[in-house]
Amino acid sequence: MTTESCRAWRERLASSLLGRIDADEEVALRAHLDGCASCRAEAAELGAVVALLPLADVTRLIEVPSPPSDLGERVVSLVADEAARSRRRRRGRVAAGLAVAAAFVLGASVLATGDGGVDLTFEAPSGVTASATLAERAWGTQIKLDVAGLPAGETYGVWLERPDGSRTPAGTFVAVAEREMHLVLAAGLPLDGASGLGISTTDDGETVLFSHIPPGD
Amino acid sequence: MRSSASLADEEGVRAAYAAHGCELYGFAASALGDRALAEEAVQETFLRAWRAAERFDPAIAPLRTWLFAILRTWGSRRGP
Repeated sequence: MTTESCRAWRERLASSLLGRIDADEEVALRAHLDGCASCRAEAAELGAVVALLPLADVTRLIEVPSPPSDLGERVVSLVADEAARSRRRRRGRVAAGLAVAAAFVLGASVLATGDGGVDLTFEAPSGVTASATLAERAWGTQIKLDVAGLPAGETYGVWLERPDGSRTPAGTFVAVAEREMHLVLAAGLPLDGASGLGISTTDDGETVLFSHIPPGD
Repeated sequence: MRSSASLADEEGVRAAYAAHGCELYGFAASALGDRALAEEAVQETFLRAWRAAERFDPAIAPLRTWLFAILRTWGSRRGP
């Protein structure tokens, strides 16, 4: 049975197991344990934990890395930069929510960037802005897509097209009103295996935006 | 309608970083084993959180949980 005195003894159990109480106290504790089955059980459980302590990697507990002191400011300025960019874009945009769904395949201009990535600019209908940057990754192709002005609430699929016309999906998104969307998508197809980037509605599969990707060098 | 008072603007992001930045960084640095990557992860996490501020609903998950979810998603999508 657990009594008030058991509580006091149990507080000393851990110290005892770690060898941190003096001999007199140790004797008294032993005497209590001899007569108290529930405290003995507690001692056995605690003892098992104490036995494992040398295996713990203390450095992992102590060395919690702290961020560089300027990281917070970098985070805030990153957000401020992007906020300023999207305000500029929004000013240049004509009324959104147009009937883009009556889609037509659009021409696009292409610009290869220095680091092997490829920038694609879509000639979107008025009210819609879209641009994409493709980059080769070990796992396939990363697609950064900035798009605004698509009818809100509609779900779109993004895909890479191979030269034979087959597609590798890169994900779906729901268009939102108000703000430009910045999407980072991934497709398990190497960049040099892709000949086009397209965006279509998931409802009827109609292609809304499409851009050819030039063959790599 | 915007449900989050925080994160909607720069001050919100600053406050969110002050509250959770160190912890997120510590987690990212331990998980990734690389401090530069951890910095990138934290920056990307707050940027994404800000972009998605409209979807943040404290009734569903507190800010801390939400930020960690973004961090984990980013980390797992990033690939090797």
